[in-house]
Amino acid sequence: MTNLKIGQAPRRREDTRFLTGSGRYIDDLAFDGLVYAVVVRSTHGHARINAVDISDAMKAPGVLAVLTGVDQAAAGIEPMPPYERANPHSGEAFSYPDQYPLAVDVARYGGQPVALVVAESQNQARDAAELVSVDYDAAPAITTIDVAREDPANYCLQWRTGDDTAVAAGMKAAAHVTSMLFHNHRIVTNPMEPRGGVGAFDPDSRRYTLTVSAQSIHNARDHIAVSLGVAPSDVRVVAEDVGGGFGSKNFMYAEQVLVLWAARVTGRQVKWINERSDGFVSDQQARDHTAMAELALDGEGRFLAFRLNGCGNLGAYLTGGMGRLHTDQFAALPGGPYIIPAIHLTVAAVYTNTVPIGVSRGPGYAESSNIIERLIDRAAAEMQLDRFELRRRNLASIAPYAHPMGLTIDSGAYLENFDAAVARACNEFENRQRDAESRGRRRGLGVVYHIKATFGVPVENVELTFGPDDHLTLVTGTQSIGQGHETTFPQILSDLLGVPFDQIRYCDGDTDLIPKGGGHGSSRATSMAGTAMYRAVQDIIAKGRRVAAHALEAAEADIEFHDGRFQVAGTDRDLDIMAVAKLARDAGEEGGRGLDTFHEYIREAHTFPNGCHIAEVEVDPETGTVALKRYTGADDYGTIINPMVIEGQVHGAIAQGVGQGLMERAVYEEGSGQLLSGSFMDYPMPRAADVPSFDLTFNEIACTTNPLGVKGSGEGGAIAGLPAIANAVLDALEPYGVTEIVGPATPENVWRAIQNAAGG
Amino acid sequence: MAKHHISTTINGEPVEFLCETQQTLLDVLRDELGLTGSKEGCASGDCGACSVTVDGRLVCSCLVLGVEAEGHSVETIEGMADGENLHPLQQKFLEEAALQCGICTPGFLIAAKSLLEKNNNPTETEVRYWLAGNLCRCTGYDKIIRSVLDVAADMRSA
Repeated sequence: MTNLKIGQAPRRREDTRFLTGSGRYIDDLAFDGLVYAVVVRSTHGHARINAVDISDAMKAPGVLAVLTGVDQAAAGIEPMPPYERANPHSGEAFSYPDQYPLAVDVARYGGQPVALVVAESQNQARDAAELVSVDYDAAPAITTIDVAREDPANYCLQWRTGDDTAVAAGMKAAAHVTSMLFHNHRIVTNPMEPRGGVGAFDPDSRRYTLTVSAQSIHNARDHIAVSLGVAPSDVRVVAEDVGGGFGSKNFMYAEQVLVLWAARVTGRQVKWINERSDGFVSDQQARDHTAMAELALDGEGRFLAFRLNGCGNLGAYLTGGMGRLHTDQFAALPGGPYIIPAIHLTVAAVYTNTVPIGVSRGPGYAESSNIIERLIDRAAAEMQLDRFELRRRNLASIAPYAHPMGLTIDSGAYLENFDAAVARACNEFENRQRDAESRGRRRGLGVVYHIKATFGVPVENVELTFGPDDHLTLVTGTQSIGQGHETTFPQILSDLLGVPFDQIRYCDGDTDLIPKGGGHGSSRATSMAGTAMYRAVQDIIAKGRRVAAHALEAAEADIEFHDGRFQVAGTDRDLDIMAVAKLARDAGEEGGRGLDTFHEYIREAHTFPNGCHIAEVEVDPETGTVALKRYTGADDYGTIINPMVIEGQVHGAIAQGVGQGLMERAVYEEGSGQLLSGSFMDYPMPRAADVPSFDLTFNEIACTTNPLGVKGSGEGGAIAGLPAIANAVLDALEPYGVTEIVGPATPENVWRAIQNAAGG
Repeated sequence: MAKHHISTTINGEPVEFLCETQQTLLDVLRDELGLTGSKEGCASGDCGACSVTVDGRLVCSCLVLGVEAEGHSVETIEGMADGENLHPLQQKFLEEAALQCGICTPGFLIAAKSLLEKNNNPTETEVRYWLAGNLCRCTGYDKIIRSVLDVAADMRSA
């Protein structure tokens, strides 16, 4: 029964159930009277749907219902609304097609739900799904941004921001302008637990309950309700253990509406679990962004101006907050941590016949970081400057730093982190390089300074309740899907309130428990819920002081609170917080609420996690094979609650980032729109043998705009990984004259780049 | 279609079950026997989340039919701890937080246990290649690899 402090590393409470196979993931839960749903998905990237014939499927054994786009209209199902429908800066509405849970008349991407089959068993549902006959007229599919841009009707948004005049002046005054074309290739996030859910409908209360594998359930509830044509209060969303999300379980999905509708139709609880092959063509994918960017430098290599003309591929529909992603996150910190006095952006996003795009670790920042970091390496090569020195010269080493696009970065120690990472990564690099050369290989280093501004839902709330059994219960609208909040949040409270860790219970994952919630996204949970907890604790202490003063017959001003005790200053008379909570409850204080406290926090400032990452690769020029040999990071995630947990967060983000850099790419066939990389056999992800151990240090520069000083740690590596790998490979191949790698540094891409540079 | 009557041993206990011909061992474990610790991550043998051992051999239970378990001994994550006492690998994963969302963790533990039963002095490279059949999206593998190497060292000094 010990109190914990911020900065300690208690073992994760959730781990015992995970380690023994007792986790409660969606596919592990038992439900009464369960029936099973299978989604019939469009087999075409783009097609007119003439008819959906369900007559054979309806006759199949065990089938209870087959729902189609025609039934949808009769049932009053509405389109799934994007979460953000207008540019937050200009107010201009985004242009978007209606997206019904089931396709109506036209299928816009391969994998789009066309019908839902519900049967007594999963195999019966699968067999019947094969009997649904869809009459398609296939149409040409657009898969690339360049082709989509040829038709103005494909645009969701176009927006210009920044100072065009100043950029023009900077370009004119420059000693050198470096320009590059970019394509940040598309990835499939692939959390290891496929998406799934169970829908239920109570005819008496007319309420729906969705038990789901998702990561932002309040937001999902509100938008699922719109599609069902009911009020949010008529929908409850529950999530128990979630097997990873990384952004891909952030926004709502068609299947979530469908199982609820199917539950109403059948009067049964309806379960759907994606197979991995479903996930590849229905989980929101990520990245897929092109840009033309120019960086102007003076004769000493100081950055003068930056111009970027970018366009995102949204896939077939506008999903969740993607409109805002392009106009907010992507536009928030162009140029990253470097001082660039003049910046101008042209931002656009278009629709194609591909799986809708959503977010994945570091969205927006991953794209902008890749652009500036690769431009810097190219500029250094063109100007014959040292790329490390070029970065040092331009890093913003002042805090707070007012970024020209509007945000103020409260704190940071960029040069310190940069120098720390470089010192470790470069130590004896020449020796390793020589050794590699003696074996016919080439070594290279790629350096990146990542930064992001945490966004996500700007409101968070917590409820702290003192139970009669001497326990404190925390209910939060954030959600733990592997990040360890079940441990770190009670750890924070134990420190702030002096209540033993074991006496603090943690609850999340139920929209009926707390009115709002931002779930998990954009590394927001600890800064948002942490601030709400901190302020709730201040309220509790103030209330407790009044109660303790009365009980101890002292003046309120004489009551001190420390280590969980209210004490009359200068005496040994004190009361434990649990005793004070009981007194408050018994006395009916605060309208019977006692010390129980609800607090809602509305974001007052963004946080800016940042750091320097350096990849070291070894390339075999004969085969194009790239091996990641070392990965060094010096990161600032602000105050660290639990270093053991943070390390894991950073490791995972790095693996995802270098995965995109080394191997991952979603590939569509032009014309048909078929996803060619639709399984783990065609879409590689990093395995244990593909990555080294990581050399990380943390520089705890406390965030000044939240009381815990935290910044959020989930995304640095996913932002830095791609440019770090690309820059390292290009460094290794410098003697071959290779100046660009398009897509991941696969053996084929690297080998071709070497051959092309040789004039082959 | 008549179901098959299968006699097998699971986690040391004799178990009999009925299954259909097409049911995988993973389906049988999860749906018929209520052993939900083994997970389906891909159903194609690529992710290792469903790893179990059959007569000591590491397999993906999504690629084994339930009927193939006849007369064989299956070990799953549910049999790894000895009552309340975690297996040294489970204990080390707990101490090092070598897991995050936990969905792939049972597969890693089964695979790592299988490695250490064959080789209690693996190199880091051997551990990484042995565990390359298991995908994890959360951890970047670092703490998993360290934990397995640490347990191997503990086993050797015990």
